[in-house]
Amino acid sequence: MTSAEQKEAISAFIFLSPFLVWMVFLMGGPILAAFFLSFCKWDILTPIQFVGLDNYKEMFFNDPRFWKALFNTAYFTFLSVPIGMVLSIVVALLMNQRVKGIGIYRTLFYLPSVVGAGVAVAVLWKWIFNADSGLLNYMLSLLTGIPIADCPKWLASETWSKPALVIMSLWGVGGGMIIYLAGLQGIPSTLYEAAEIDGANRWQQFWTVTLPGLSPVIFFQLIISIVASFQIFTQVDVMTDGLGGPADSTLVMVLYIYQKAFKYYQMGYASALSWILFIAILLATWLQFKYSKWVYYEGELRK
Amino acid sequence: MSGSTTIPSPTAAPAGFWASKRRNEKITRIVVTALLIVGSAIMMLPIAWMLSTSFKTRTDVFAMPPVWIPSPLHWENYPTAWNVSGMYSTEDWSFLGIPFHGVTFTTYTLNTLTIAVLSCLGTTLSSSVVAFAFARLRFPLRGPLFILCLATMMVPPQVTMIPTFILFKSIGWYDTFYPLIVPAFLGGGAYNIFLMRQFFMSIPYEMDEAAKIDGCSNFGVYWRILLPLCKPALATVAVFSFVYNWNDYLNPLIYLDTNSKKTLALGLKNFVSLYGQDYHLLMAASLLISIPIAVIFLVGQRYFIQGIATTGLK
Amino acid sequence: MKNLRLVMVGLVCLSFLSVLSLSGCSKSGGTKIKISSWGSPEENQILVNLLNDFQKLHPDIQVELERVPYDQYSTKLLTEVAGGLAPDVIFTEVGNFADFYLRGALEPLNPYIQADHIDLSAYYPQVVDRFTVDGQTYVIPRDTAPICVVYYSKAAFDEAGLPYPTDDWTYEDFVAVGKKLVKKDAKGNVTRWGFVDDWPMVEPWVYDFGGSYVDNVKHPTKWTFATDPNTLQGVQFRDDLINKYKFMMPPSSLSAMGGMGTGDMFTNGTVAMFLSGIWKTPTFRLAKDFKWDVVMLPKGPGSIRGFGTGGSGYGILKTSTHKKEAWELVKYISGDEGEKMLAQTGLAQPALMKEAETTFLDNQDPRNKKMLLDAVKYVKYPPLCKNWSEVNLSLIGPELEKVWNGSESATEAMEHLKPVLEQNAPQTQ
Repeated sequence: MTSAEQKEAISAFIFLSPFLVWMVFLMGGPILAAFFLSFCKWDILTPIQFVGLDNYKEMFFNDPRFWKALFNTAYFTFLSVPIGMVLSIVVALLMNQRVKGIGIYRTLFYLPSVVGAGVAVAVLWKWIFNADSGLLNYMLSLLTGIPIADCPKWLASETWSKPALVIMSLWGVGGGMIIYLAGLQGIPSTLYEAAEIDGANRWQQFWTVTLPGLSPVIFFQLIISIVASFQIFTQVDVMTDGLGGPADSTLVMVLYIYQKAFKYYQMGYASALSWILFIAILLATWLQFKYSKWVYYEGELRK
Repeated sequence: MSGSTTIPSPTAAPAGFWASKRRNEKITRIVVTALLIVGSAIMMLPIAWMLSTSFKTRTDVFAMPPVWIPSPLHWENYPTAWNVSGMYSTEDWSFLGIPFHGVTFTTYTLNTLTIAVLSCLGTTLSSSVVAFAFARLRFPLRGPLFILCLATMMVPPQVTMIPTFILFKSIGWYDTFYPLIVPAFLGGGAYNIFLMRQFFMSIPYEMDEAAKIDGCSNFGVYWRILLPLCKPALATVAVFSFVYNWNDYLNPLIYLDTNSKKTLALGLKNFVSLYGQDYHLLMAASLLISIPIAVIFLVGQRYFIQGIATTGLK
Repeated sequence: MKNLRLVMVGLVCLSFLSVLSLSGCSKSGGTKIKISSWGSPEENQILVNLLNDFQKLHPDIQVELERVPYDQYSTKLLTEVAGGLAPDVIFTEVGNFADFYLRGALEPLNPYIQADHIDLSAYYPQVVDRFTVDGQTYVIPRDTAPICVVYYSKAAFDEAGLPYPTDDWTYEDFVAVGKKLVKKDAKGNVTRWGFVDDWPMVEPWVYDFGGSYVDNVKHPTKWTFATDPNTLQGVQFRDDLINKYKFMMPPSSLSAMGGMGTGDMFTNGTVAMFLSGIWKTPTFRLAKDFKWDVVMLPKGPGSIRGFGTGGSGYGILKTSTHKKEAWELVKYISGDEGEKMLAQTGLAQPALMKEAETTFLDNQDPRNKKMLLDAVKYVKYPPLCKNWSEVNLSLIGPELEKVWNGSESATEAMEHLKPVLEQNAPQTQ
């Protein structure tokens, strides 16, 4: 290491110091504790018992609900992430236009992702998805001519409950919209000017300038969306009163973990479940980093 | 200082993107406006329903077919919802040394504001500092440390909750705001660090080099060059962390004990459990506590589009 | 711009100041104990009043009331226990009593009861019995809540030309009446259902048909749910109400999974009969121009009766370091005063028989609530085992949802449940 490199490394660790303190003291301990707990039996009220790999064995060989939860989580992720990604980019592009009152539109699109997650709105969603008198089926039957009785039963149906959750999650595109909006500002206008001089039409400009310029943000959003939807909890919790019904069709991993830990007093088992979920998410993220050649960094660090 | 490297973008939209022809532009604008209106209408549906419900009486809430504009409008639901949550606590408390009697939503608002403002400040500062190191500086273990950072997002918070609680309790932070604020000053979490890193990395490295030749230190590059260029990203981080802390429920639930220290989200949830059947009051309360966020966003949204859009230097 | 910046700087400064000013406020001395509870506004007000009175009687004991929403109660409590900050006194009901008792977290109360000559025979024996295992009492009961209360709308019965039901009706009468209460519009859409329950519950029918969940409620060794032919009949009956007689509101018509809002459907006329516990009374009293009363859940085949029950009380955690003071508190809040206030709200049937037979039977709606004095005799408690809620909510529940949805028959569900229940035997250790 040259002295310049050393100096850079030292200043890097100074910059990193808040993070390192957090990592070592606030995050490290609890994470290690959770890891240790996954090899234990602990109901919180009585002393911890070490049980080795029992929790993991039970999970893989003896617990159909674990597999169901894993499946439901994956199903939700693969359905909601692509739709949400595309939609929020489209919305961000719209919001980047010079239209009168654009600030108000931005606020209107963002508000539901703030207000819309709470308990209060669950009541409304339940009504919207109601099979007989809900708004969604009313619209559906109006548009397609299918009688309401033959429309999906949404939250009451084992088949349609997950798509219903996906539809619900789309009301959160406002969050993604903001990030893309910020990302769009980072694309130098000179690039568009250059592209125009080269005779590129709008569509070509979108593909050759906007998308590559936005790619670091898209990459970020992709990783984060997958992490978040693997960990979806609140919406399911409030919509199903914490049960994941009907017939476990919306039982997702974190809901199951929460049930096990705080409803059924199995903290050790819940920790073991978490580590499996952790590995699944880590794997998904690793794959994305591995195949992230499409991400174009204007300011990549040279080695 | 920063102004010398930043030329404010003249237009919100990438210039020239829609500029081919006047007429074309007009049509586009109409189409865009139409899409925005339709989209907003769909997006606002839940909130419109909340708004409508908040003006109803208890019996009208479940009327079928649903009534969207109740008449008369029951404005009194708002003051009722605001004052009612304090009914079960008459304890004395003080804010900045000013004594108050009885805990109401006002108490909760002040507490929430305190937590949200400080967390927002801490997150914005510390996440960008840390992200700068990951994006711009070379140091040993950079890759592994970044992976470690991302990995913290992947452990469900539900299982680290109890160990974390024990940790904070053992350093005497139970029933204080510290567990809710201090982590924000220590990087603000992997999400924000990652977000800032991505933005830093999309800024050409030449800018740093130019600054360094001019004698800028690493901190100078961070503070004078990159931060001003990343205002939209900073605004994003600020809004997200403010909103997150404004709405956070589980952390205040487990860390705050004294009623006069509780937050709006707790107050609302308490309200739900007390008046869960009174949807009209519930909606009024929910909307009331969201108003500050709407206002902050409406005021702050122009910062999202006030960015660099220059960087033509080569 | 400048103003905004100023406002922001000001806010930040204020926030810092307020955090600093928060620390270092402590109250005067005396023993400090904490009680944890959940409940409706009425219940909460009672507790607040009781605590105020208690404070006057015992100025040396400082009581802190911690109120947690019901669905977060166990989360908060368990976190506190793990952090060594557990409350001294907890409010507990039939279900989580088992969770805490079986893990040895509750202080045995017999020594205190004997020392203070508390007469437990003044309370309903069924409730006392629930909180007593092998002769040792762990919780002093507050109320009992048989889930046998069929609320009915008088208007619906009048319109259908039916006489009001009486407590001696049978399940067959119930079906006959229910069918007639259904009202449809010209297109054939149902505008009024005959019946719905507060949340999807099968226990009342299982018990009413003589069925069971386990071989021995206090010391269960195996599940009998899937093998008891009477249980199957009970499940079949609820299935029939929905899918055969079609007068019970099906899951797809509920505005909610989990039944949120079915009470409102009852008061707005969408449903004619509504099954729950007596705790709905204060809510229904608020409904304007709505005539209603209650009747006992109909008798099952062979005139047997049985229903599940709620019910709650106060216990002391073993970890408490101020057990003596905690006991004083428990004694006071489960005594006459509190029971009287509880009875006055109409919210719950006091566990103290004297109050249930006097104050509770006031001249307010529902007039027929006296039937509850009789109903207490038939209550059945859930099995006392650690995995009861998991088995009930997460194994039996989801399987039965398929039955209610019509995608599976009751017999099929039982067949599916047999191996599952065998594998998840009741845990008592």
